[in-house]
Amino acid sequence: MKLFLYVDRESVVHRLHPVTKIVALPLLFGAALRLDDLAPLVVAALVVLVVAAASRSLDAVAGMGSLLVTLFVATTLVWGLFDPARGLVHGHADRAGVEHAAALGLRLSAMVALGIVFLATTRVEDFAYGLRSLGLPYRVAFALTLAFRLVPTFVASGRAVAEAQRARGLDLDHGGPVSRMRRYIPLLVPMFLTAVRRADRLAAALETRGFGSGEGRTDLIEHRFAARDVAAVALVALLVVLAWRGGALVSVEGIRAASDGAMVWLRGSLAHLRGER
Amino acid sequence: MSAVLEVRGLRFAYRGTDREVLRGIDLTIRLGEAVGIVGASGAGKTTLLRCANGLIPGFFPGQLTGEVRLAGESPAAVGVARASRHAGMVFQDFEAQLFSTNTALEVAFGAESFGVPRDEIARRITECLARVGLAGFEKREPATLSGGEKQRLAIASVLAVRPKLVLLDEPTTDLDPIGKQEVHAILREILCDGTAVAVIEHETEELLDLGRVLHLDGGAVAADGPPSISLAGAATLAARGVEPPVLALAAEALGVVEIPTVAALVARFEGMRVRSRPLRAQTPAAGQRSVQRGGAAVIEVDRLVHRYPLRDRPSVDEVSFSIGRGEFVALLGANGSGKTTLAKHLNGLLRPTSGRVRVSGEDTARTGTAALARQVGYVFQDPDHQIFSATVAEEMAFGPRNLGCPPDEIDQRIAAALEVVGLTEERDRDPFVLTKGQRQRLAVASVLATAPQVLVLDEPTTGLDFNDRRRMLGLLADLHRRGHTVLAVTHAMELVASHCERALVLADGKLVFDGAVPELFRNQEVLERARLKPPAAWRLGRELGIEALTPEDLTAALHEAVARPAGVVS
Repeated sequence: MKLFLYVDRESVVHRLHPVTKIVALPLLFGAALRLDDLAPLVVAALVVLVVAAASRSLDAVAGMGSLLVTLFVATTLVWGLFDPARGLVHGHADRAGVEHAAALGLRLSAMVALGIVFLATTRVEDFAYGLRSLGLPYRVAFALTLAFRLVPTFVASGRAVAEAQRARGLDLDHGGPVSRMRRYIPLLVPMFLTAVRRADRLAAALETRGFGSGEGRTDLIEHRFAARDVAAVALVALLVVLAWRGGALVSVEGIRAASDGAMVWLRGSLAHLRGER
Repeated sequence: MSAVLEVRGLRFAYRGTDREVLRGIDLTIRLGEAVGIVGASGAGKTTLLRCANGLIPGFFPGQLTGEVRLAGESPAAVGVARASRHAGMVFQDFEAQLFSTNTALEVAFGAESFGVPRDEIARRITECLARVGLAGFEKREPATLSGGEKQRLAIASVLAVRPKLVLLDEPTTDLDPIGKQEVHAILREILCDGTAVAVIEHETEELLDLGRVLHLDGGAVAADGPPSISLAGAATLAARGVEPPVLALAAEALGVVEIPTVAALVARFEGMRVRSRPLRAQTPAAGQRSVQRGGAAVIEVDRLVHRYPLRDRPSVDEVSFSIGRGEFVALLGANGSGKTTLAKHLNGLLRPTSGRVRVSGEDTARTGTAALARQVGYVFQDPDHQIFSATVAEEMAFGPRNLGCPPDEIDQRIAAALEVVGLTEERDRDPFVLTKGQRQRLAVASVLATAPQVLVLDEPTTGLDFNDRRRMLGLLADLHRRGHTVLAVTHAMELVASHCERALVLADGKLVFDGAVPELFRNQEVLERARLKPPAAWRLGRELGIEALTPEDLTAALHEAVARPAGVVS
């Protein structure tokens, strides 16, 4: 069974320096959060698809299709119904309300899809490498990426627990919400205990392979900043600026945000170059 | 050669318990030396290894006295991470020790931790992967490897640190017979470059050609020496919960103290007429109920195909068979051959991609797992994936309650099932304080409480010591006698040889054999294709020119040959 989202392929996005990707992701998220009308968000979703295609990870995104669709539908429904300003339950039934709800649904799905592209093109080791290049200590960088290593194994053991209890006649599909909640106990107890045990064993395995030995750590992987990183950052900056739309091009706020982003990236690359020497 | 591990007067009790797991161990392991460690569960084997690399007291605190020196340092003082430069450890659970995106990075991790230069790491990756037969696997994700490959990767990732001592805690438990053999072959090779090896192993057969076997009993050294001596004395070993090697049993049949080599044993019987005893599975009574002979089919699998999403080939591929009421069938095959995938169709946990599975005539795709639980009990490999209750009895009540069984009947069923698995006295205890063997039997009992006709067991004997394994096998035989249909998914060929009437063998998802167990053992082509190996008794029997399914078959034949006057050919 495959446990990571990472797809081992050659693409320009795979080859980007992890720092570039780590900096680009929140910037693009920020840009998406600036948008709340349907038309620009459709464009933003298309941009995500183009990035996915360029990184040859369309299939990874499609593999999470059900999650993306669920997020879209749920968000659209919740906003469409309960938005205090435009929601149906508050007596507003107009096209603008529905469009707004769909826009927010699309925004969330597009952001998650972008996250999937990031994980599909970046190994956890590259992720940790990038965080270290940005100046985080190795232990902290490793701990942050540990979640990505653990989640898939938790999912796998969660599945095993569910199968074991279903085989003993556990039925989660029928009954009222309270009795259904109670029926989750046979799942939660073993899931929690196996998760704790797994984490414990992983910790032991890490230390028996010298993790935290106190000796200077070396890295097998190596990344260098290249022209494509400059191009990628320029592209991200352009998208961020575009997200502020027309007028924002000349606004102080937009320029400052863009230059802040550039500075973060620059500082990261400088720190990295210093580390090289 | 100089000592890499020195242990003097070691005693240890885990925190929160009074029981000393180790009670005064003295042990020296030298460079280039291989030590097999045997003993019943609870004898202190794992605890001893944990003391050697500092996991005790670093990870598992408690009361430790005595002295441990690893390459001259105290592992407790330097800590696990630094001690691991000298002593690498391979765990039984191959999932939890692999955490990297690909095998190259997995092997690199240890060397990176110790600051080995990049080009040297790259050299070691190539070298260590080649050592364990995984050359060319550099870019594979560890999770996509088979069980045997994962365990060999774990060994490679430890070797890349270039430790002086490699500790292995039951590394072959979950592996198919050939996978076990491959791991042990690698261990023999490691020794050649001066590395020492200490390996805990329940299968004593695998240790016979090792230099030294340490037998722990109740936290003390019961025997320590060449296996021909420390694994001799079959009766004593069995009494202490260690499976005697078949050669030891044969030696005892001859009245010899030391375990002979196979060649010596064969020479001893040269010219004598050793005759096979009638094989159990061929006696007419056994196969009577099987479908081929007209019994009622309880499980019918018809051209079953199962394909997981994103896989290029199906995991179960056009498999057809049926199982008659009351049969005891083994489902065999290499790690990753599709056994568990197939078994999960029998209670509807998985739905066929195409084809059909019927239980008592009902299509499992339509019935649903919860309803099928009345007919098919499925015992999973890891009991800890299902245990959640505060007492044994409550745990067992879960299944029947789900099926709407009235309370007084639940109580009766619990009492009956506890009796069958021998846990009556633990009825009100907390399942989490039970031993591994007891928890495994609790898992069987909690499935029995749903009163299913068919029992499917996934690796029922894995990870159990000799005593618990015998108890589990006795339990399965008992259930079979009571009329249950039993399907055991297993790598344990001893179980197959001593209990099953019929074997189904999968290779790459295809059914490559369906027939009587002795026929399978004679079929070299199927054995090779499915990475199977007949049990030790059968293999030794073949050397002597006879067929023996169990150690008892073999020793009885030897007794008979010895008892007959020399030179007389009847």
